[in-house]
Amino acid sequence: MNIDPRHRISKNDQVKVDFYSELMNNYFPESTIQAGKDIQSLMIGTDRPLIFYLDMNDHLQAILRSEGTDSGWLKLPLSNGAVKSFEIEFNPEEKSFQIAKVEENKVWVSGQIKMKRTIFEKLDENIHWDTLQPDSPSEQIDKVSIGTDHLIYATSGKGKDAQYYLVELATLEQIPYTLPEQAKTILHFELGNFLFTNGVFLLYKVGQEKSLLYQSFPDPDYNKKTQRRMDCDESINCFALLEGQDGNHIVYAAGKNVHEFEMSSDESEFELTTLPSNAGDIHKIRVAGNGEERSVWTLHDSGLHYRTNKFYDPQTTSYLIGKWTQPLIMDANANQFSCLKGDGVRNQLFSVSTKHGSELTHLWQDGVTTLWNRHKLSVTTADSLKEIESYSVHVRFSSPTAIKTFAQQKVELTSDSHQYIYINSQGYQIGPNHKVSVELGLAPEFTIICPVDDISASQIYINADFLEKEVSINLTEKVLDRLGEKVKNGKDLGKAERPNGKPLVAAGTDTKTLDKAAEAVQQMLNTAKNLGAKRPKATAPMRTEFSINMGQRNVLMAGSGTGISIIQPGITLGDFLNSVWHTAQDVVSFIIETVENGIRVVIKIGKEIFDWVVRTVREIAGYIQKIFEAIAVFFKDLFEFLAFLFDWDAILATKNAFRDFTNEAIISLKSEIGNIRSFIDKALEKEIDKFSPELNQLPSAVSAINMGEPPKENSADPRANWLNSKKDFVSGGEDKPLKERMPSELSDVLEDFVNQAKPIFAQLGEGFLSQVSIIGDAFKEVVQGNMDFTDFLKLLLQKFAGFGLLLVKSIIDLLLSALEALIGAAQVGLNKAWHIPLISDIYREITKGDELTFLDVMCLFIAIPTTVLYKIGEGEAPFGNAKTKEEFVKRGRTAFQLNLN
Amino acid sequence: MFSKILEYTDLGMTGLNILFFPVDEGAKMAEADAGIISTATTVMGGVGAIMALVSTIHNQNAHWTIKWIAVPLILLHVGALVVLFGIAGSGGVSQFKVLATKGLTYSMPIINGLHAGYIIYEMISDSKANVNARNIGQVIYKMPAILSYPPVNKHPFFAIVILVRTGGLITTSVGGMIELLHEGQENKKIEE
Repeated sequence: MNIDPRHRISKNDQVKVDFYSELMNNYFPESTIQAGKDIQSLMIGTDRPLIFYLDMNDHLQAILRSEGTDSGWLKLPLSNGAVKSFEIEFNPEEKSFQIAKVEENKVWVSGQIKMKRTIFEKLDENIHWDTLQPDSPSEQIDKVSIGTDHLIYATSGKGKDAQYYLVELATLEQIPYTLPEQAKTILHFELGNFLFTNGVFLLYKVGQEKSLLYQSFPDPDYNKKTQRRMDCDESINCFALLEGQDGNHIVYAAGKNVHEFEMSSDESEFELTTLPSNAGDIHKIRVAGNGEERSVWTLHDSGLHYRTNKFYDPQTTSYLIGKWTQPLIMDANANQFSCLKGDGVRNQLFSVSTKHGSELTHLWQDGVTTLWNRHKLSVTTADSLKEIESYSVHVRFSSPTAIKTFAQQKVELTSDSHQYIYINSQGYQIGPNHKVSVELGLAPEFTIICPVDDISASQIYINADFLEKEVSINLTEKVLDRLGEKVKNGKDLGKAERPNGKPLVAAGTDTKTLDKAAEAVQQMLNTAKNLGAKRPKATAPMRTEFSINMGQRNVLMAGSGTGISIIQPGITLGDFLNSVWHTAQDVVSFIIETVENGIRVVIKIGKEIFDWVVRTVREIAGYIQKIFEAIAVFFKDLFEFLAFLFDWDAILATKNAFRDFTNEAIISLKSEIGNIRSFIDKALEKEIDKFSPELNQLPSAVSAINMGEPPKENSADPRANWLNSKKDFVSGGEDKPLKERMPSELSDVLEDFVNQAKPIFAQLGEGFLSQVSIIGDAFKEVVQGNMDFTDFLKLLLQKFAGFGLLLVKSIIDLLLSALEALIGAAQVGLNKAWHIPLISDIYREITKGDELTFLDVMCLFIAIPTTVLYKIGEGEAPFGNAKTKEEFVKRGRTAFQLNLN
Repeated sequence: MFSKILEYTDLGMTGLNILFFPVDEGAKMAEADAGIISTATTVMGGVGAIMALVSTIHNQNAHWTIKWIAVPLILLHVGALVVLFGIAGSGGVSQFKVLATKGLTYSMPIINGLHAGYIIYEMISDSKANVNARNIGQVIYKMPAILSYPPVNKHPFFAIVILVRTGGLITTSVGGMIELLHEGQENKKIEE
């Protein structure tokens, strides 16, 4: 569609942005992913991960982060059958990677997949695979490992020692490979680069001791092998490699501790560093790096832990790169995982817990606020329903001065911290330097859905060429205002109730605790308001101190936060809240004090002190959430307390009332057709002939209509406009095969009707279209201000008097003769089962399995905004009692009865 | 209670139409199929018009001439909806479905245009009762519907027609909400 530049909206048109954000449930046609063994991941672009995993059937699958697609993730199948082993090798020099897998007792090795040239969305279709087989078909391939130049695979056979094959990747020539003599029992091997050579790292067992050895491949000129043991003062259980910037791998070996082996700057030896550890035996280790920053993830009996070399110093509020933090618990139940590092999203983890359903879970840490977020990875599927808690905001643009279109104009969105969001049902990652560009359609509006697992969310900024200045949307504003209103003091907090009448805070909670918690919440809310304000109010410095016994959730004493000695763990707010907070069972002391442009938060748990300056609304809301958690009020409770809850039972009641009303009305119309026909026979033809609109007496209010003037209030409410974010899904609705076919005679009636109507339109023919063209030209004149609306209306009515009434007369006769039969056909059509993506699934969920008919679909569409608006306007659902419904349905019987006196 | 539910229903349908109508028109411009959205748009428009026209028939104070014009308009809207529901029931791609869809494409703009003409006539006849934001919005929405015929609806300028018509729907919706809230406040005052 080409838009005339004169009709494009511009910066001079005083564009207004109207929005409304609400905390509420949303639904997506998505399903979570179940993963079995092994997960590996790779960053293929800035903050764009590609995850490889074996599914529950051991098939190799890849999941690609794909901005602007439905769930934001694409699933790509990479095997036809079960895969025994796989490995990904990234080549930092070539900026490419290769995949090796064991499938059907063959080794499959992909060609080099170049980061820049590859269309990753079609990776599954575009990989070229070569296959390799051992010398004897009786050998079973167990494991493969791939490096930048070589591949090695291990086989086993009945009564035979393990065999190894070394493959030159450039030629795919394979030779049997002999491992070092002393390494009889190989536990794990991986190809890599060390001592500026290519070779293999081996973890082997001698007696009860496990050791790590590196052996280079033979030098092509002198056939010389370099071998080096990586000694540390304990038995090694596992190891992981990280590509170093000099081309060598950095080796992380783990027993009870983690030992880092990195090539020294003199290029001849390596240096050993032992990282702090205190969580017992390590069974699995993974490492991720981004420049100089690294994170090490280790699996212990007590769960998955992580440490980073980006140490937070509260004195300078800056980071020290190279100093390692203590290990922090990340997930007590994970048993498969893979980690990545990035810029905006600084740490990412993909993990599976077989104890909890084996769903592939994505944990990621925002680079700005350092908060950890967690969600189960999902891909779009037509027949499933995923319910999420979210902030939903409907954004609408209008101009008070011009009739110009916003179509094809681009809007750019950024945010103050990193978050995954949906815009018009498409998944995106957004952040301070991570722009999302949205093209506006014919309707200048879009919906943002921001999934959350606490009450905090990013501030979103909107920019466009047609906007005079940046527009900021605080997603949490309404909810935080509501919270401030509802929890003014400890007494309010003690009395607060959820919609089901249950108290928000457990009965018997100490009143001093409630007073202090409410005071802290109010202080945080005031700061949040100031952060969002253009001109922050000068507020007096405030300081709140209190302590809570997390075991008993009771206040110990107010003002106990002073005089504590600081043990500095070097961790961020996000790490603290995610890892330390959940383990707290002792006394927790809070000190909250206002500082310039933020809040200083000091929390003491046991011997550990945490000290952080909060500067974004998202951090404040996240922290408020933690104050509530300290008094045993969790997100689920706060969501019920603060969110707009869709009352599906009420919506269903409205839908049923509409459906029954419609059925009654159709029956009544059928019996009323005789009366209408006799009325038409007696009066209508005569009256139409006499009819002449009194054009000269248009009321002044009608004459003054300015089509370009927008309504004074232009609300964009995501509650009533709930279906807006679903329209991309529902437009794909398809009819299922009819259980009850439409009787053929009715089909014939319809075809006769259409065939008879055809010549009527043909009779009007080109003359009619030329009149439409005249009206079109007149409309342009009105838009351009060359014709007033009254003259336009006169012109229209004149055209209607000529063509419209002629058409009415011709069609009505035809319609009346066919209507009785047509109504029968309509009833069949109305009661036909339809499948509307998402809507059908929600319907099945709320009705516990009912089939959605076409009439139900239409009534449900109408019932959703009607019920929501009615509840907003009247404070109750429209069909709260059976009597109202009965009376409403009864009115359907008289709907079409003529009352012409 | 009955009329209040109907008023909110009308508001709900107008709100839905604000969301769906531009999608449907955009699809028609591109000769694409908006699927259920397109059906829903026609249903919302049709049912909304029938509700308004039927309430005129039942209104004791409405003028006889207005009532008799309402009758054929109701029949036209009912006819269009019945054909639409017939399409829904026909299943697959049949000769009937093709013809009926084409028939609706040509009928709906003129039916909408006639309804707009009727609303203007209503406003002329009893301006005190009928000149309000809702009716004005309906006129802005329905009148330019006459331009929705190919090839006019494929012209780049048609984007402006859709914008103006959506503006009409928003005016109707906002007008309706204001009226309802005002009514609520008045009722409260009476109760007090």
